[in-house]
Amino acid sequence: MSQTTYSAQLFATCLVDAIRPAAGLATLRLLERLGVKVIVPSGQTCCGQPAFNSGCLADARAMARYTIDLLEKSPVPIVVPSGSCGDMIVHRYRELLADELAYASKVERVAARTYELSQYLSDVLKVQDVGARCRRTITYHPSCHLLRGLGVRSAPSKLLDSITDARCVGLSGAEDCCGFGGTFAVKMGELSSGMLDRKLDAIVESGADTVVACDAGCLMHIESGLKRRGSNVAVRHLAEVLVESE
Amino acid sequence: MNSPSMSFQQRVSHALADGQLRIALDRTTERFTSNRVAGLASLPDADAVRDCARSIRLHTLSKLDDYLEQFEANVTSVGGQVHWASDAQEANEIVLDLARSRSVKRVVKSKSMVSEETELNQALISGGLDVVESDLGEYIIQLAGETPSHIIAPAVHKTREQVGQLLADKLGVPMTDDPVEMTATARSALRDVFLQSEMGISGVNFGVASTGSLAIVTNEGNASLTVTAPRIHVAMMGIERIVPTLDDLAVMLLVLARSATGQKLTVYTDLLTGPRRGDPDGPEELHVVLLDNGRSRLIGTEVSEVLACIRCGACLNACPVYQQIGGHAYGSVYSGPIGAVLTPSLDREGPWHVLPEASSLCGACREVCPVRIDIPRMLLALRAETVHSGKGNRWVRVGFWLYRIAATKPWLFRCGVSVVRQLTKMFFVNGWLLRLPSPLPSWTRSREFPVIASRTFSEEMRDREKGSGDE
Amino acid sequence: MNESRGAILERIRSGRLGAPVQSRLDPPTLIPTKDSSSLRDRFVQEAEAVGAIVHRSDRRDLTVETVLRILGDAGVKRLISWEPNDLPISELMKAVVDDGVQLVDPPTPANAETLSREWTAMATADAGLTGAVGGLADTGTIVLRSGPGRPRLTWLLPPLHVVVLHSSFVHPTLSAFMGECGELVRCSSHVAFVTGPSRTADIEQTLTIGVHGPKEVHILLVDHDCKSIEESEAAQAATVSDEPGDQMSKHDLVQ
Repeated sequence: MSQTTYSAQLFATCLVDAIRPAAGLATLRLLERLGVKVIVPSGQTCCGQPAFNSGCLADARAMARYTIDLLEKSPVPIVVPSGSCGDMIVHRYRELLADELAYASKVERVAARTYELSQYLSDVLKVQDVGARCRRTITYHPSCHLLRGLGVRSAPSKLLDSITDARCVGLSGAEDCCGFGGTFAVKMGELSSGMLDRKLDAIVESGADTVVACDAGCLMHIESGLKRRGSNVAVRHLAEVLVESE
Repeated sequence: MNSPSMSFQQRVSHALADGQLRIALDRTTERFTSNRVAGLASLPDADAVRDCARSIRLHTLSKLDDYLEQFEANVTSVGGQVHWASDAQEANEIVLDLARSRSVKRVVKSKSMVSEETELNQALISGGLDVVESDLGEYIIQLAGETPSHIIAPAVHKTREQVGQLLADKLGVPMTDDPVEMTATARSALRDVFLQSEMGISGVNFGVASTGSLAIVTNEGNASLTVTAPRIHVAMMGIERIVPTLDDLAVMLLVLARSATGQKLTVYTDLLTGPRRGDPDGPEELHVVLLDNGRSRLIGTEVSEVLACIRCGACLNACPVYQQIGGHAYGSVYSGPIGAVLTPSLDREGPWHVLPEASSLCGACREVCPVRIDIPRMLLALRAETVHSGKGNRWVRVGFWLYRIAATKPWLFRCGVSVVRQLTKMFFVNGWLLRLPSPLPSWTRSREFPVIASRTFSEEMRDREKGSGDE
Repeated sequence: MNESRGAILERIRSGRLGAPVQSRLDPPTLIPTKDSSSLRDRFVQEAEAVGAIVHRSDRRDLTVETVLRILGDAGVKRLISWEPNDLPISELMKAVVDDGVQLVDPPTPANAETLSREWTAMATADAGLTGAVGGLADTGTIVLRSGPGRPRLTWLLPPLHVVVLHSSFVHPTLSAFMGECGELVRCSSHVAFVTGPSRTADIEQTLTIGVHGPKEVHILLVDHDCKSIEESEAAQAATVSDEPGDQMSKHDLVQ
């Protein structure tokens, strides 16, 4: 890496905070290992995506304003270890707060410097190999909002490919949704389960012992499905495997 | 067969339990999807063509009134007649009046989603007319007494075995599972229908404002025969189905067939400009019925973009929800992602606010749409409208209101997380919840529920700060 | 009707109030080649890919001979044909008749009762013979237009369709055709773009040929002199504009 010192603020997201803290810790460790000075703004909660996706716009707006005010204080890039929350901040805040003039420029500033983790690694730090090492057979599930919202298609796979001793295997129907969709998974439980079943079948069929994704929602969904099946395929956030060095 | 009285959830359960439906959907949506990819790959610059196609549709909608008037003037100048219908009933009455005043007894139809929308067949049949659908898929479902389950493949929900049995039952032909034989049966049955009907009713893919032409595409040639042999041609079109010029039409046709079936062009693309003019055949009268039925009200709203749809069906094939349940479970004429936007938008009073919920917002529909309609954005807008109008689930509203209070006060958020953690510990089994308190059992039926981590990320961070302060 | 018309237009107008007219992007140029011989090759390749059978000929007598052979091979006994002057080679029809094929009379504009009888007779024809006003290279499409002496059912009803296309009429794309020949659309009540034989995939997406239209389409792509073509086009254009119902060539279209 060059001599430039990088700084970033880490917005961990609510699901990572409460359900999957390991992904947040791994992100922090990974960035620090790569020489990035990381700030974790205290008081961070939720970007508001669940409320936004459920049509509760007033609630979503309140959370968006709160998050923007929190992240806007520091001028350094914002790293989010979750594709859907990243997409929320980068694309949806703009429509959500379109009528609030006071926030117009803040929204743009925050959106312009927000990156999903793999995006930050490849586009800002320009690394493809973080020096990770692990004996895993990995298959990668591209989460929908990372893929189609933020348009991140190849960065995570390249990072995974560079892991020493790991083997990456393809996932059939990789770009199909796992069926999470926030409250969709509860409101439309049967449809969501049907989509998850196909995803789990593909994961098992891939022969991988580890499935990796970049979104805490998908990870939680896939993991809870695999547990119910009694499968021993491990579920990991990208950061969690990238910090491994056994 | 789903009954309209069932709730959406019931229709979904019903569809998911239908093994034949799953087989039929698996066999077809996959083929459609791979054909579409190959079809677009045959364009030197598919992305630029799609951008252009989108701009044509949005341009047209941004001055639709002008183009409709121009279209009407040009249809009239070549000897056709334009009828305007505010709603379904008015459209049906126009067609029925035309049939009655011209002593029509037999009507042959080619596929028209607009006529499905107005339930024209029922209206004509109760008016004493014989009506026969001529598209093979439509013919099959007419024999079965069903409705279409896909915009371009109406009988997609049937396996070939089911179709063979249906033809055997209804037409008395020997049972077969060979599509070639079944197609031959339909060809001979429909020949006389084309030649003996006095009125042919078609849909319209595009109306060209600058010439008054109607563009109608089929692979079978059934629309060509429908608009050629009978004395009277009635074309049913939604008011949004306009393109300004023939050049614009050529661009739209570059993406229509490719997105629908993967073909570069459909076998028959007919451009009809007025009734016959000294020709030996072709209709003596051409009537164009322009249907509004809720469309004009959408101009200038958050869902106006839905009017850019060119009915290729690509979003249905790509949708993981449609792939599982097919079209009938939606309970509306238009199904799939586009139907989940179009149906509640056109019919505000209907029981449709559940349809926009039937999406994980994965965005596969937006990705395949030839005119890049942002379907997820409109699904979100409709969900917001449901909440705003108070039609949504009260508990969801209250829940998010509480969540918002907590999420904007970090201390309260931390307390909330701790409380939920304590609560879930009561159901703690090996790190995962087996059963959830209502209303969440629809999650736990097929999935474990993760509990709150014993130490959250923010708790770790606070400790870390303390730790570094001590150093 | 008028009430609905006014109400619909009014709703659209109030909806777009204050919104700007969105601009149209220029269509990208998609013409792979302008060189005429590769254009023809592309046409042949694409037409064959969609299941049409293409025969090339550079001599009038060879063209006639090929048509007779196609009809003979298919055992055609009854034929519907366009009027001799509406075919690119006017002697074609006579040659077919001399070869022993019976011509089915084309329908004449008449009242409804006799019409449906005539068409039932037409439906017994084994083949239809027409001439194309255009070909589209990138899709393998032939373009046909209706008019006096050119019944549409000729290319729709019989199981076999034989069409003569002069190679100079091959355009690279549909867009190019519309650009150069848009006027044909304005002055014909029916212009058909036909891409291969009739087909369906309505039963489990299984491709089946010849559902309502022809099962076989033979295209004679000819390079030789077809003088009669311009003459018949000119003659037809004159007839069309004399039609009382047709005011298009007399009045500018509303823009």
